[in-house]
Amino acid sequence: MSNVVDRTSVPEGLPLRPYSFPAIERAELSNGLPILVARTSHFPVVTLSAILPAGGVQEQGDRAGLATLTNSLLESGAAGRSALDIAESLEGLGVRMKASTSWDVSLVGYTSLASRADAASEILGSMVRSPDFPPAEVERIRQEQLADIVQRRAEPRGLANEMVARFIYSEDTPYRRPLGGTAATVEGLTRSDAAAFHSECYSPRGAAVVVAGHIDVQSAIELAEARFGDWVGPVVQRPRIAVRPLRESTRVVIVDRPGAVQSEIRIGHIGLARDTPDYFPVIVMNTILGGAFSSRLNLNLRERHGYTYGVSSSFSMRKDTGLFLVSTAVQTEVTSAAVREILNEVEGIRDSKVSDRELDDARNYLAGTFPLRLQTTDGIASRLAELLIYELPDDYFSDYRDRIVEVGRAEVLDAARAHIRPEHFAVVVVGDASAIREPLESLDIGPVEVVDALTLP
Amino acid sequence: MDIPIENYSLNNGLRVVLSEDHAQPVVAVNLWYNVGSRNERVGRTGFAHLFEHMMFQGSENVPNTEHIAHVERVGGSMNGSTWLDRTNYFETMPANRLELALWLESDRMGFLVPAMTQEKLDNQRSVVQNERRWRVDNQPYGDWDERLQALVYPSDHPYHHSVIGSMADLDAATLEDVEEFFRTYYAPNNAVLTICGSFDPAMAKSLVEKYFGTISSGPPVPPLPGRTEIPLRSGEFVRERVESDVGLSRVYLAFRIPPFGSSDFYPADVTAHLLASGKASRLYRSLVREQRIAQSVVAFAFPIVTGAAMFVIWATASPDTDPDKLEEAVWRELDLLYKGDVTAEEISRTVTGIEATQMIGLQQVGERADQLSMFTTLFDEPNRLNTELDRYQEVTAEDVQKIALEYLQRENAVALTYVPGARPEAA
Repeated sequence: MSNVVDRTSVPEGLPLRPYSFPAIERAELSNGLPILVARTSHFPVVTLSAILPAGGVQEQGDRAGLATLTNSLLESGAAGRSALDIAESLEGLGVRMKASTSWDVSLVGYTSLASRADAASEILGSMVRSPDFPPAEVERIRQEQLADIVQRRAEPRGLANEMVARFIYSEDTPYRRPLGGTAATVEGLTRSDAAAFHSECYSPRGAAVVVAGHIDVQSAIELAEARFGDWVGPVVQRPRIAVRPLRESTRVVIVDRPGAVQSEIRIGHIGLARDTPDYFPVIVMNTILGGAFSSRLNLNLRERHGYTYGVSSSFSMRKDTGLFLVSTAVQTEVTSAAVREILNEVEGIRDSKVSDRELDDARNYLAGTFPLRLQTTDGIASRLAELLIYELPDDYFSDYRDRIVEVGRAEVLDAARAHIRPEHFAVVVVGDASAIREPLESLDIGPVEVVDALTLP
Repeated sequence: MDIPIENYSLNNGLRVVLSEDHAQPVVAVNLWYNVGSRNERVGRTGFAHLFEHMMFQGSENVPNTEHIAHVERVGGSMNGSTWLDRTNYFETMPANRLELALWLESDRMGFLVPAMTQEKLDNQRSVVQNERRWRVDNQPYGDWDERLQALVYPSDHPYHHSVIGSMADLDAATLEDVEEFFRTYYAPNNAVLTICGSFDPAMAKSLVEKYFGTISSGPPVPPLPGRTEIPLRSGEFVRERVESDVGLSRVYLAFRIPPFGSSDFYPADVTAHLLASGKASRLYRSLVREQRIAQSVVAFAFPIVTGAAMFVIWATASPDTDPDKLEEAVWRELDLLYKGDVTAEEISRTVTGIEATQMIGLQQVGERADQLSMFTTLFDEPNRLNTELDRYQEVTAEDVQKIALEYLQRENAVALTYVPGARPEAA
């Protein structure tokens, strides 16, 4: 094979093309509802989302799943229009409405061709403001939510995620329960619960609208004004949440799935809120530990040992304190060896400074991939929503990349030592207890208990 | 649509597609190799995918684990994937790093073998076997596509086995297999390179010539193994019932249909969408909303080109619903299609949804690049990116009825049913 080209040296880059986050316009509708608009001129596409202060934190514990149920029911009939009518109208516009609930907020929104954004917003407005909650639909969606719980319990990844929250948070912390509720709480939900939750939490005083895409700012504001400007409602207070750990020391919990060929592993503890002053050092540190393909955890567990298809670590940050988690799935036989390697890597990142190369690579990775996720109107709208939900300044993303690049080795080490605490780890493994119990006990990291998910409420 | 496209070939047979767009400071590099699981020989199922993993383990000038690290450390994202007909490799880079991506891709296209070792193969074999456990063996319904392919396609058809392959065949793969597969399929004359996004065309062409033009052509690619021409109707109704640790029962119906690219594929795809895309779709309306016997419904036409494509419907039963009753309800909806129950207005709504989805997806340079590589690899027509939606707009209610009558029939069907029960022994 001829090879006259010098391939031995890595090509240099050209000068970096600057990237600037699209200009953001902030306005208020006549009822005070805030709106953020980012105009992009490329594809004739628009994303519009309504952000509602109707997240899981607003539920009472015995009504867990109510935020999700209420949100799911918005499409089931509104302002006298039937579910089928809404579905056919949206489909005629080529619009798929997306409704979702997180702990912090509920979102309802869509991406459409720019020419249809106005017509779709009319339907969105009536769904958010005037849902009818037809009794038959309430019952149907409630049954679907119960069936979703059955499916989640039968699926190892969903089960592992549910169980790790259960063994990290104290019994009085809302985040301990699954966001969609449990079979017991969803059984008890009624139409009047949903209607009451809607009238308390779906209100312009606490809501916001974001628009991104091929639409000029004035048109976007006028469109939102037409749909939401005369909306009235109560002030929505966010309840204060105490976030406490279930236990003060490391515990290993095996959620038994007899015969499982793989173990779903989750290791973590209570993490950070989105407003942590250490945000940038933490995301750089996490990238090096387990936030990229070339992270320490993945190079160890996947590329060196072949234990897994992939492993990652993450800080899920909320308005209140979220989780730090290491997540992976490994073949049953190497379960304890994999846990050992994860703990070793965690020790490593807390033990000494990362190398200059690791620091550079992680900073460049985060700074470089930032614009990749902003190619779509949906990606930009998600960032606008982040500004509103976490009360970040409008120019936050303008110097986002600069702030990543400023993080130093000492800050990375400080962040690891301050925010990863192995002595508080809950180690949750969904797998075959008969095969993994003894090896996990011999790791000697804490007491090992076996639970049967079928018997847990 | 009016996406700018320029295409040409190098002397070694590499087809190149360029699509310039300076809206964002990013550039996508995308390669399709015309090889997938359909090319695998007996005893080596899963090998095309295992080989794809080896492509990330370094090449002559790129040390192990450095391929991905090079992309990540400049702020790019990358991946690869293997399917029945093809294997693709792709990265989206900051616009100033086009040359790095071309250097990396050309080094593994031309100079992979010197970097291959038994240790790397054993490591990636283990990774892929864990991928199989994760996707298939430890997931409810995880083997649905493997089971359907085995039932829809005869044992000598290249789609009879799954992309992920069997554990035993993965165990059997050797370093010699890696070399042979590389020499047989990984050559410029069996690949398409697409560059889409912010780049200078003259510079891109010269870089492509520099890095890829010097790679030698490979020998002609051997014909696909087995029998690719099969009847578009199987002539029989096959059933399989699986007891497994699923939460809810689920019914799959699968049918042979004309291959992707043929004129009958588009009405079939529209049929899949009007059956189960969105909450106004027929199966959702009837099974989920009105009868409340299904928790969710899905339908799609696999866009595959070898002999016959596959049309799949699945419905997940509500708790306490008898899956046989659910299956009967799906058949009743197909009966309505035979009778011509679909309206022009319904077709129009469905096609509007397909168009919007396509427009929204194409905002990303990576998606545009992948479709350009696809249309070039499969049909040698990159411009189908701009004209493909026309084929959907031409579909009529009569076309949908005809597709249902010809293909979505019991004499061409596979019914696969999962019911909750004990976990079957792992393969």
